[in-house]
Amino acid sequence: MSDDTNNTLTEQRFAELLAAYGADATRWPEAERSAALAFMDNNVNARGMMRDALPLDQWMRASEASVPAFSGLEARILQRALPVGASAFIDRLVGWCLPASGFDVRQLWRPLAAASLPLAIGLMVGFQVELSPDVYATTVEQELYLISLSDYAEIL
Amino acid sequence: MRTAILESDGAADCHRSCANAETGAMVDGHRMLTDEEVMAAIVAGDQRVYADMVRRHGRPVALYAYRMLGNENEAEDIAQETFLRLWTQAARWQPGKAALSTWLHRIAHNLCIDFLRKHRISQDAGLEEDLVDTQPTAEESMATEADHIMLQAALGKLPERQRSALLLTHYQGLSNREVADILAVSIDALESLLARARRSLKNYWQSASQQSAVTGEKS
Repeated sequence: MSDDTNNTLTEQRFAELLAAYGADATRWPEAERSAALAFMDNNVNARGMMRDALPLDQWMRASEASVPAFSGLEARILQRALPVGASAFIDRLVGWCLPASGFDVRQLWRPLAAASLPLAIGLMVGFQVELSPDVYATTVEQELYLISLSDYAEIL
Repeated sequence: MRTAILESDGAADCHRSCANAETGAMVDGHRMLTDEEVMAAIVAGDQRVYADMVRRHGRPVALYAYRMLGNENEAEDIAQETFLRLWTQAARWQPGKAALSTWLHRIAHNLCIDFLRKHRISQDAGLEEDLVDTQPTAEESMATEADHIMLQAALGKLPERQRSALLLTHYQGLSNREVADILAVSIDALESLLARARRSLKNYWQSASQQSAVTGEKS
């Protein structure tokens, strides 16, 4: 018979916790752990459920000693050459342009700076082209010869 | 959030060594970096911090892969690839979304699932090899090894999602919220996966124990 005195957790929820997380209370969700332990202290059925759930946990724990040691794993991982390629550069560029941690001024000016870079390059190229009058002079002469207006060309 | 100061031995024990915020690297042997500081350092190419992360999380990640795949060599390959991605994709980590250990487990989990789908591994085949290679020297180690083999066999029979849910919660020491995040399910759905996984394990264990008891009586 149940002598439940704790209203914050139902017997059904206690059974669900055991079914999902097992009999080791340290694995129960932190938010419900205290209530579940208090419930178990005051509930005979809950203690019975706990006893039933224990052997499976013990079996799962017993096998932990036989897992591979993976000796030297860290050294082998660290021996592997780390790439410093295009992808790393792009990731760093993206990381610089869009800093992920918190909101600060970097989140505004860095994307703006990155976005305005192509505009600045376009303006520079545009000015360079306009400031080359020799190109147009030569082109006009060539055009005149091409359309066979040689007389007019001689006058010029 | 700043992590606590930990001992500098690299947390060799896999059980719960990846839990919560205990993920940072050591600086000057005593101060822990936060996850954000660690990832910023790795993005900047700091190999010392990267090496500390490998020492801290290497074995837990490999053990998770081993329990998922049932094969030590494949598990090591998964661990290698996980840490390569830590190096190359550190800039994609978002601090508010997941702790660093959770992020690493998600990478390892996805690699394991990809591997299982590509190779359609027969867990039982790998376990038979283990049985042949195993030469226990004492009764206790035999019992433990038998438990281990039986558990690996039982885990191998679970559907991938149930297996992942159980391993991440039970052996990797992640919280239910972190595991739900890795598997992209709700907490309710995670609890359902866990309950089904444990029920299947219990049934397998009980029937295997009965079988071995009958075999023992005959011999």
